[in-house]
Amino acid sequence: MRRVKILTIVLVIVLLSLIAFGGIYIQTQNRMENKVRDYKLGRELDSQRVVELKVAQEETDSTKDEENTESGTTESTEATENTEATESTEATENTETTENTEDSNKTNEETIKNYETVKTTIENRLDSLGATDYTISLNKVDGTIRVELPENDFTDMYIYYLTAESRIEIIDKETEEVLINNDMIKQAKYSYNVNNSGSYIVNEVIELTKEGQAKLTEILNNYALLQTEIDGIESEKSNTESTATESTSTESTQTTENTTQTTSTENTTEENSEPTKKVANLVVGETTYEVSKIEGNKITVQIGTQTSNTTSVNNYISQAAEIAMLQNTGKMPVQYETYSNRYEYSNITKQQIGIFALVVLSIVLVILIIFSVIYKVSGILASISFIGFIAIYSIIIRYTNVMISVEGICAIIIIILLNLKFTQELLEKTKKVNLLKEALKLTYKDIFIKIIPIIILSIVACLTKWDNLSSFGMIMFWGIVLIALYNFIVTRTLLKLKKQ
Amino acid sequence: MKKRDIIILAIMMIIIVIGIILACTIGFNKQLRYSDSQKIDIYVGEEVDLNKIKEIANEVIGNNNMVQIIEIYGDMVTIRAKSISEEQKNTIVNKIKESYEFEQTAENTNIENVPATRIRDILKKYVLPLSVSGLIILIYMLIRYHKKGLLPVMLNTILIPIIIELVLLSVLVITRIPIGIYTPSLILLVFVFATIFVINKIEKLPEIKA
Repeated sequence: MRRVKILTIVLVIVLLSLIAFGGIYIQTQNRMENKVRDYKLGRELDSQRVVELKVAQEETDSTKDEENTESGTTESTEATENTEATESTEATENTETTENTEDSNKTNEETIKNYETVKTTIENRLDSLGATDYTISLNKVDGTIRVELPENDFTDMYIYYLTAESRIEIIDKETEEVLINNDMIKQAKYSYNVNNSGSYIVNEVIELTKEGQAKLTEILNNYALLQTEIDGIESEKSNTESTATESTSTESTQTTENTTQTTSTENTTEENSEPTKKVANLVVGETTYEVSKIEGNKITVQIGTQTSNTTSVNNYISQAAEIAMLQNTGKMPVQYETYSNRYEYSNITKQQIGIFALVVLSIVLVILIIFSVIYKVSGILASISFIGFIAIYSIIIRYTNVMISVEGICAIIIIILLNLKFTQELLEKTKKVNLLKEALKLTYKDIFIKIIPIIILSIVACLTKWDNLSSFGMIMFWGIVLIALYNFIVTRTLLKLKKQ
Repeated sequence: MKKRDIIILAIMMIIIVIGIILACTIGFNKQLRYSDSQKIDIYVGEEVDLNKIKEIANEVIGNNNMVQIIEIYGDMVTIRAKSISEEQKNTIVNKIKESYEFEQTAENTNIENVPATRIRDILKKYVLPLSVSGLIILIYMLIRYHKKGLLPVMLNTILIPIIIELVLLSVLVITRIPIGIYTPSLILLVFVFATIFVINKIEKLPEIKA
């Protein structure tokens, strides 16, 4: 009976190993398909999206123009210098050259600083959008930014926001002169509420910098920015216009009769229009929004109102969230455009990963053979149990949807080493104490007390947003849980049956 | 402290000092994936055999190169190396043309620069999780082994992992082993074993009598 039990357990382990390492093949549509789920590989082991961003052409052109103008000025200055050259000494020329070099160095430093700012803004945007894994590199010479992103449902959205811009500006409605620019905006927050009539109002609160606030106070003396004020001015204007039309018609009919009276009416109209303010608009990108409230350095903008349609309300909310996100993640001092957007397979092939796995398994097999030689039957049974452990572990990793990154592979190695240590300790203690129950208790105590810090590390890693580290944490966590349960259920039973 | 421990510590310190000097002067050696490099993209128009292209790249540029299949249908290939000359570019394109039929010529293939990734950008995401877990581990150790004295427990828990990690980084910089995608895993692996080593060491410490 004891032998039958051992044989049954061994057969179950063999079956599990066959499923884990070979798979279950079922015929579907004239081909054999493996029904066991495949491993989910991370960006560095499978594929990724690589986006190259370059400084926008317009920007470069304008910079070139500026440079040309600068060089033109320099030329003219040089010309003047030439005329004066006869008078000046060589020493002064040298100091001028040093100054010029210093100037160009400063401009270079500023350009590099701007590129760095854009890179930081992109990083902030990706973090704010919840991108869990990315690599950004910057070429400081031409400003090219290379972004590597994992391929998933959100990749295209991330790519859109890499270069998206939403400048918040307050402009003169007539002349389109920028009164408050994007640099004077500190941050933006969005909110939504329901008013008395039951309609949803989505608002964006734009906070200005100190400089912006001072400028706003100055602007408000001459400009109307609040929607209520603008409405008042516009209705006044339309009233004036209608009065003007009426007066013109009166003029045409009663020209000969009341010439003096008409002139007096015109004068009064002119007097009334004199004190009206100019109109300023708050523009985000190319859309003009209504300003509903101004309080200190905060301007409340109404993004939209809707009574019942939830889709429209959601659209307004996402519009407001987008403005806030683009504003709060930092400025883009240089305009960029997408130069290339490519799907890139990893240079680490599946074949290479397979070879690595085979090498690791071969080493484990050698260690298990050593166990079998040292601990004889107990060693053989523990080794069979170990193979079952690896099989179940590989199935768990696949079915818990854990992503395998390079860090994840490292976690698998750590878990295999930990289980080897556990098996060796258990065999050693069983040999010494000769009481399985006592040996098992001691092994659990020894191993698990020592790995509490590793459990802490695993849990913290599980909670991180970053894919590579969470992969490490998840694989470690499942591995530790499996070591605890599997050895208690399978290894202990096998050794117990052998003892009997 | 035993004489053997002092010798080991002294050797470690020497390695760390040399490592710091080298890191400050010549810096770390980076894997091609993370260093300034050049690339050429070739549109083959049919499914590419990566090994074949890799062989050509090895033959023309040398072994320090990266060959990757790009685009979803696997019909385009990118070859990346520290630097690619015009001559090398022409040879690669023409050699690939011998195996595949495609329109792209050596003349209309551009050599493009690929910017380097900074080591701090690769490692910065590890700093916060490792610091948080380090802090929680420290608190756990102080509570669990309070009978062994707070100062020795604290010093061992903080210093040993830091010294071992510094030795690892110094070895990497001295031996010029390139920093690459496996480096963070190596750091994690060393952190795990350093922690186990700390526990073994602290457990051997005698308890302080009240």
